Amino acid sequence: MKLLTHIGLGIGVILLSSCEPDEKELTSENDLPFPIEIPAGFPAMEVPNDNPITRGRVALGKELFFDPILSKDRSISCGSCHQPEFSFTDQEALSLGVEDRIGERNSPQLANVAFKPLFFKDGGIPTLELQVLAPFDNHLELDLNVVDAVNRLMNDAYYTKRFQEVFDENPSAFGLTRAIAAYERTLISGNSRFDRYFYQNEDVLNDAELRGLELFRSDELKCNSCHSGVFFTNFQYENVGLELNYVDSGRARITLDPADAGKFEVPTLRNIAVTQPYMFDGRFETLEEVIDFFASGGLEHPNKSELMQPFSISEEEKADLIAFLETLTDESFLNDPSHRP
Amino acid sequence: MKKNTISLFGLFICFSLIFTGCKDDDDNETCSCTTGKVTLTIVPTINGQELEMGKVMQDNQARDYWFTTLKFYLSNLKAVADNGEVVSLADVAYFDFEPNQSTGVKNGLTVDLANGTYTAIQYDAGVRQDLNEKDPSTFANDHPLSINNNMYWSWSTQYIFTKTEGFVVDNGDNKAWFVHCGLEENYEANKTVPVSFTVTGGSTTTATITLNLDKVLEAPHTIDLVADGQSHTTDNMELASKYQENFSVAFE
Repeated sequence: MKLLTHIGLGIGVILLSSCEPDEKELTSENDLPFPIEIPAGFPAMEVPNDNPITRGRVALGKELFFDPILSKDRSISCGSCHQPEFSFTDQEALSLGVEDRIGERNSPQLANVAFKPLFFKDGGIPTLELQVLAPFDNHLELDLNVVDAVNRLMNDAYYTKRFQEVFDENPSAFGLTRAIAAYERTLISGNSRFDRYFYQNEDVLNDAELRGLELFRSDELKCNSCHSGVFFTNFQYENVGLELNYVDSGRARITLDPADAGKFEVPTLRNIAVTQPYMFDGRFETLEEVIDFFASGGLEHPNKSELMQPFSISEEEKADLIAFLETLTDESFLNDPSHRP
Repeated sequence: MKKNTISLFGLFICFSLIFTGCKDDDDNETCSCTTGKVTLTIVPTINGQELEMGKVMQDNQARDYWFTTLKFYLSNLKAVADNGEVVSLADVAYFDFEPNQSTGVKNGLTVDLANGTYTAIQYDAGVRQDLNEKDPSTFANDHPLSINNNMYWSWSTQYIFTKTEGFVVDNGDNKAWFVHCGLEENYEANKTVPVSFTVTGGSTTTATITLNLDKVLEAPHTIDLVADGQSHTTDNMELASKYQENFSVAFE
């Protein structure tokens, strides 16, 4: 009788447990949230539901970001054109892709990309995850179709294991885009001397830098009309009169609106002192050249921004303005070992 | 004794539950016989023959030409019944006639449909805008919108509606021609092609539609594969628009 009772109880336990789906016994280290510290003055970070910033995704994303396995001839990686020490630019006017093919636009910096509403200089890409796909298809960049890239990862024992660890599945376009985007969201730069001055009320700017800040905000220069807010950009698209006829139509490539021809994203000025050369095609080597161009008012393209008006600026004022722009350099970000391979 | 009887009965119940409780739901339900299946097949033709990739044919300027790629999307596929009822078949379908690829030719789709006689298929040529905005990496490999189909422009985050490529012989030279057409402006909606088929409960019937590739070069716009150039859409919108409009009405 006792035996029957025990058997009955045992079966009852089996009954109650046998139909439950398998679950991970413990949350793995990979699934833990990656610690993100939002700097003072920054908005909250919006993270898509299908791509939580976990330690596993960020670590895998960083590995993929710096691995040339994702280029056609295995010669370059994302990190070739986006180098941490230059705020994830490469200091080239136009980057070299596979087989030294020359790209069409200056490599954008990746600091604070988590906060951007749109991606590419023409704003053609709405999410960071989708942005990851673009360099694969571009024959001037990685030139490796993402389907082929995934197949390459599938045939790589290490990455098959890593994707299993992080995504519980073999390498996929979904995992590839999520991992790299998760890593890129961790590239937060908000610890420049300007930040310490403005957001933490520290007396760290010298007289020349403060004079430069005043010039930056002045009614004559109006730099902060476009380079505004905590990211020093209004995330809009402007034609500044670089050309009378643009070969690269910029924003118009996406909108197909002739009124957008020659408009490009207003770039952030954070870390601007290390992201030379400047403008969409890297035509200006130095900040002096950039200021001289803006002082000229630009060429009379029909779509040129009304804000582009000539102004006069002395050599001393120019030096002050540059001194201020250099306060936007975040050395801790540029030298952060956790961003590096 | 009574207690033993109760325990044995309990054991019987438990065993019964164990051996039945985790079983998947059976799929082999008795056919209601109110629905059957229809396989909608598209057959591309050129010069009156079924398309063969790489086979030299004649274009509308009497030049030798051939296809190497023919892939496209149709959205809002619907069947029109003889009583006028319109029944949805698929939100989007993908067709690919390249034979030498891992995924194989995708020349049709099979869907459930209520019994009855049908007289036409309605469709839109292209990817419906709400689907065109989706992230292709989120779809399963066998989904029409899967990134594996290589029908996505990553630089503008939209699908290519129609991708056709090949060569045309012009003054003795083999010249590549291609039209990759996309963008909402070129979405061709509310097209209808007559095709009669009857769906019978529990069985599969076939509805075959011809895609007349000669018409794609002829009507309503005449297209010259050499003079009109090539198109990735934004770089030659005129050709892309004409091609997609012709394509959308070339089903017979």
